[in-house]
Amino acid sequence: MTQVREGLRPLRPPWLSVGFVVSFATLAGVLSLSVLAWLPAVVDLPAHVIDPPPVWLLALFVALAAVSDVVYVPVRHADAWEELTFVEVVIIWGVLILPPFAALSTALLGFALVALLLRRPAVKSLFNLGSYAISGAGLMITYLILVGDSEQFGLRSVLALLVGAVVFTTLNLFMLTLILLAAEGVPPRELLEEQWALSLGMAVGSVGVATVALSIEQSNPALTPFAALPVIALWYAYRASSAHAEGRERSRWLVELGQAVATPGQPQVVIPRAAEALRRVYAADEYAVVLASGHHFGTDPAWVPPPVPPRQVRTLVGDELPDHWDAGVGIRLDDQSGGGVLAIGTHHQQEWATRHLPWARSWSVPETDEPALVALTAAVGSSVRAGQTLAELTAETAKLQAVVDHATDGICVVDQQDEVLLWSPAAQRITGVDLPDGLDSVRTADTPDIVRRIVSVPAEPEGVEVSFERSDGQQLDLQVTRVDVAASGTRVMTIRDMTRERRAERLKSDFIATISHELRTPITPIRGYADLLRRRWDRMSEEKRAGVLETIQERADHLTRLVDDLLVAARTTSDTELGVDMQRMDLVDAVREAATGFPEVDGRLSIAASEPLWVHADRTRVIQIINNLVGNAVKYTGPDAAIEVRFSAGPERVEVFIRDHGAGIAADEQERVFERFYRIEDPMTMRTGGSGLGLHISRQLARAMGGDVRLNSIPGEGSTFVLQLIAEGT
Amino acid sequence: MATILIVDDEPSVRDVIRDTLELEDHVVFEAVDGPSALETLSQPQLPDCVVLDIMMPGISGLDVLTELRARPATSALPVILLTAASDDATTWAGWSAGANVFLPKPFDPGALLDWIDRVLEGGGEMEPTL
Repeated sequence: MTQVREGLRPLRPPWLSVGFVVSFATLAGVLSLSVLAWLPAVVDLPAHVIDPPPVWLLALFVALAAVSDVVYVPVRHADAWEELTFVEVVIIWGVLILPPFAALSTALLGFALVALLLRRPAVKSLFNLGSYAISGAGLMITYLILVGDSEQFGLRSVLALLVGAVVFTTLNLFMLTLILLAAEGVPPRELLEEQWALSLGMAVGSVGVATVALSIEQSNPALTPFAALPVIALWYAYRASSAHAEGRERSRWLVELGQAVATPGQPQVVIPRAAEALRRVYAADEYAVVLASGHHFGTDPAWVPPPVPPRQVRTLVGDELPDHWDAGVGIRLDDQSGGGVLAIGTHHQQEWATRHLPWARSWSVPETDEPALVALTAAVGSSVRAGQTLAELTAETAKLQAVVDHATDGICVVDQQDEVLLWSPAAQRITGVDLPDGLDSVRTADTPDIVRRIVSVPAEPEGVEVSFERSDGQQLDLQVTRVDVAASGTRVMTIRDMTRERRAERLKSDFIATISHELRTPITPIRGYADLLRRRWDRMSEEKRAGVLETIQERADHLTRLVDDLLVAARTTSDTELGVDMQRMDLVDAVREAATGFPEVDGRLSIAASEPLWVHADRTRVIQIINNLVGNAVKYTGPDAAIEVRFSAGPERVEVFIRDHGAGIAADEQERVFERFYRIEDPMTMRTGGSGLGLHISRQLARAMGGDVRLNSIPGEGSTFVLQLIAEGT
Repeated sequence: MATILIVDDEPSVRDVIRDTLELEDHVVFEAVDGPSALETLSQPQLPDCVVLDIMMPGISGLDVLTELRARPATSALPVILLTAASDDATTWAGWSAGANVFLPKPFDPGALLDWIDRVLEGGGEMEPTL
């Protein structure tokens, strides 16, 4: 609501100041009085008007007006005070009995006396008087014009009085709207919606009371004072209803206060909530809290509270009060960070909507309430302390939760009763088994086989290997390490997925078997022939010796290539980039040159005719790759099966297809053949030699040149390896 | 002079063994893989000794040896196993299959000749050295 008001402030024109409205009210009030003084000259006064009035009657009316202004019922709704006075009754009564000028001036005199005696602010009193003068004059003029020359007080008089009351209410509300818009920026529409019914009801009620009084006075003057009875009854009824509403409001805020202190929370949440509830309970206008930690809540952030003894309510006086407060109490607040002071109290702001309250009402906390207030404030402290502890626990738990949630290893906790207390997300991801944990814990007996195997591993310092097939068919090697927590009887299992490591170990051991075969095989003829040449040189023909030496050289070259491959493979594991010497080169020419390395398959190897295809690549590396790919095709196909080499040129990429008609490669092996040391066959019985490095190296080299090596293969039909390189325009 | 069958898939290895043996006046036959070796050894004319490589495509030398030992005609035929693998498991498998001699590659041709002489003389089997 406050925000709406702020937003609507621009409604107020710049010239509409409080000074302007008060001046207007004063001038218009004086003008109204003058009109009333002149009025009897133009209209006839009705018969029930006593003209000229006796002095005692005038004095009585002054007194009545004063009383009606002082005796009011404070009505509180939401956060605002409203007052019900009987000013209207006195003014309407005056209209019926006194000449207009006398009626209004006595009423105004009564109000002015009250303002003087109670030392109300002059500006506000001036406005009130002006406002009453305008609306009162409006009522009287309306009445006198409408009632005309009717001799008797009758229906016409009552109707005239009713219309007059409506005029009175309208003018009064108009003035109130003006001053509230000027002083507080209250939107007129909002005010009218709140006020019109009450104001009009009061005016019409007053007409009733005045009419009754006048009728009694005319028939039996001695009974006239009894006309005041409905007024008094009404007054008491209002008061009782107001007290009841106030009590209800107070209860509501006591409940809110109870909730505020019963909910552990951070100081910035609990303290303002509790302080606001406390303020409402004691009908205070403001609260202020200053904590030793330096935090401020409520009004006046610059307020420095006086020392407040523990378990006491201290009435704040003078400089001890926050700015603009005129009454207040302070209570010591204890929280973990050293406590502070909580104060509630009232301020003396210019509340135009309520004409008297701040001066008529003195604010205090009943002495009998003080122990309760101290206890409530202590409860605020405990609530804050609990909130802080809770926040620390929550933060701590969140940290642990983050560890559990984000650990790469699965974590499983089982209690003494063999219930799974924790089955971490990683455990779920690794095993593919989803288990409820926490409150919905399950007994291990009810879990899938793999969980039962995991939770029943013995406590070995090195952990225990558990192999199993996951529901998606993947074979997994897990390392489960169990730690028993003696104090709680729980056991904690960490589950590490070792599948990759174990596979790497297998690959490594296969590689060693393969590579020792590959390295030792060429050494056999080299060493054998060297020995033979040494021992049997004379028994060998010249031709034989030449052939033998050629074999030695050829085998030594083979060994060199093998060692080179090993070195390249070793380099691709480190971060060192493969050295490639990029240049413009003809791919077709390089492929033809590579093919000359395979004279034994001359008849089987067909290379498609092609124009030169220019690529950006390292020629030596390209030949090495083609050698590997064609060599593979030769190794893995039957002695007569054809091997075809085709080219495909695109604007950006040029590709070489090497197609064989061998056994083909199963789908799940197609990517793995590019892994280091990977061999499809068991090294012991493999049909072909090879280090398991050729395809790996080929792909690494192709990628180093910005290209790639791919494989398309259909088991039973053969494989096509594709070398892709970057095209370079002709 | 003896008749010797060499079984190895690697031509250069066959060549060096053949040259070594022929220079010592042995008669040499060759087989390039397990099936052709078994085929040759199912003939009535058996060699005096077989030099058999373990790692071969298709049927390994160990399978060939096991098959030979299962056949009455060749159950006692001297067999020298050659292998490029030198791990204990392979060596043990070779002895278990009934090899007379177990020779790891690369081998000294002189040593091969010595072993051939010993097995041809009916010399005992070499003790397994694990």
